[in-house]
Amino acid sequence: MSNGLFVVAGKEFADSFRNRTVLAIFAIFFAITIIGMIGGIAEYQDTLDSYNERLSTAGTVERGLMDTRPSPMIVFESVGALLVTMGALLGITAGFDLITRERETKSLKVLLSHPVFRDEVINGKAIGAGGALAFIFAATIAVSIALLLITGIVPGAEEWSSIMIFAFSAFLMIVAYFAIGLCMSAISETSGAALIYTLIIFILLSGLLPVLVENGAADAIAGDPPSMPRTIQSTPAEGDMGAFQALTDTEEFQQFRFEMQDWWSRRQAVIDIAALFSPTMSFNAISDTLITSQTVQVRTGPGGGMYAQATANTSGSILSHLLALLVFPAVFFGIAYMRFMRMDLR
Amino acid sequence: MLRIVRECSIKQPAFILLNMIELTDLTKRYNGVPAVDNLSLRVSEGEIVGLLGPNGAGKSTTILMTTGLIEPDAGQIKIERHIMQKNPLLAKAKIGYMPEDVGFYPGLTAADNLDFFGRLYEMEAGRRKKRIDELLVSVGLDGVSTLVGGYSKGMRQRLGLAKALLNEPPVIILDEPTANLDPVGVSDYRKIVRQAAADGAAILVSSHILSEVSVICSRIALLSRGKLVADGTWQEISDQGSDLIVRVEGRLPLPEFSIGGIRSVSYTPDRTSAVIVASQDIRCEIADAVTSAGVPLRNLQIDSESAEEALLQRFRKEADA
Repeated sequence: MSNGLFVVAGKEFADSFRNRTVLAIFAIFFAITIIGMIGGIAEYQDTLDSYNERLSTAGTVERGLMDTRPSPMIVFESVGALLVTMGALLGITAGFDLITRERETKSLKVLLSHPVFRDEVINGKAIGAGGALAFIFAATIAVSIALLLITGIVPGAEEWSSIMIFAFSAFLMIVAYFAIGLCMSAISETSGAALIYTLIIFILLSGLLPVLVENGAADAIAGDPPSMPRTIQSTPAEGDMGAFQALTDTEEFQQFRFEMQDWWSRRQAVIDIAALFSPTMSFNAISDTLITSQTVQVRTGPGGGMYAQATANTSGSILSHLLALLVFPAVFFGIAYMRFMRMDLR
Repeated sequence: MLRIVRECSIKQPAFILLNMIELTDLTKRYNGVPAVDNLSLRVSEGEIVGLLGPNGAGKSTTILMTTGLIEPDAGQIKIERHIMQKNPLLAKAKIGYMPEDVGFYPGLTAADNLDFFGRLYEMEAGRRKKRIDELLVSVGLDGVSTLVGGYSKGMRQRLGLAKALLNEPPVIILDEPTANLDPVGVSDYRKIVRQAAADGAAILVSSHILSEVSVICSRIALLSRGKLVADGTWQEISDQGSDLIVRVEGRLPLPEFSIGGIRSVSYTPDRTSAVIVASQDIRCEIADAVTSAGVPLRNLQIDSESAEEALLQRFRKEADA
């Protein structure tokens, strides 16, 4: 091995900070994340105030049924939605012209005539630009966490691990779109074509696939949801906990509950499998799991229990979604690598 | 131009020179069609060899294989003593290459571009800086602080030459090196290349411009349809070739030419210019005849494209036979 890998990676890292488009997207990404954090912090404070108020007036029974104390993960709920779009765009911007730019400026032939292996060039480019993305992302997360601490929100140990998993999965999602951009850059003749192909894939994976799966495919595969038995359709009067308890203890309700859980699991399984093919859906699945598992412990009313159960099941799939987010960039980088190694330099 | 070739031909030294580029039985096919066919060529230290041929002759493929940018289907490439297919990094480290329409990183300055490539050659920082400063002066780009993105084609070509010489390589490969240069640039380029050859570098210049190759090169390798059809000095090759076409222009009507070797003369109606078909290079004799007749000479040159084509046609026939 020559030192080519480090030289190319170093240049690519520096180039990322010279690239005005990358810097502009980074500035927007940073600003939106901070604005999202500020909004999230305000929402968290409101939720906390409301919780404390209810806690102070609730009786013993109500206290047992109340949600647990709001988690700081609420702050990341709105940030997550923003990350999906801006993070993906940041990744795409960093990757879509890495190879085509070299071809367009005719510097690729010059570069490869030097004592450097081809794989060192593509690896160096990926490491350099990926490193720049990591740096940008780490800076954004560091400022976000600093903001959290400055406003007096100190997460607990479990919440810290949730924040770290959230950040890691967001970074993997950005890297996945970066890898798609890099792949299209290796396949396409021009940067314009690479950008268009990458955006098409982005729209398919982040917009079309989730809509198709959640609004069509999942229901079609899982079938119709079980209908609630007529005998328990009448909702007990509010506060009549005895009547509610009697209703949920019936064999009919337990059967309905079981069928509903089964239906929900089947539907969720379809979404989970589809999510493995979309970095956006995988990130959303992880993000939802982390945020809801921290913020929703118990929900009341028919169906709420099923939702909580389903959420608990989904938490077991964080690992599979993280794996999907690792496999996704690996696959696209693999395609880019093979294409680059066989690229005709005539 | 032939007279200049005579003046600038490098005399072969008496001692044995090392072969710095050795191409042996090189073959490359694209979709089954041979682009380079069983080509063998050697370039020794201090030698400037011109790779000449029309479009599609296989020059670019030969250059790309020699620089390690594409793999040959058969044959061997040896740079200094390193076989390209076995030790590409060692072989490439000995080469300075300037492709046709050379490209650089537009967001960097000339010095930063050269610095990046110098790092790839693992040049020590101090040596790199010194060499870059020297080269930018020699190609006339010192003091130019604009980014390479703002360079003209000619400036990029100059920078390309500097890049090819960056690591003081024993082997220099230039593809159409004067394509975008102005006359001053061409003159500078010739000086630099001759100096590099005088310092011992083996230089392979690819071009489809006969006049350019004939001026700078001590030897010419003529390619046609992927095959080496002639290899020798310009004189040796042109002696084997067919007639030369000489164009002559005067400021007054030209005299009648009665010089040995002339096959035909066609004058323009005002007789201020003529096209002479000759069996050998008779430009000196024509110049003498014109000036003796009291006619100021405006232009005298070989029609290189016609000459090259005539040569190629003859060699193609021989190769086909």
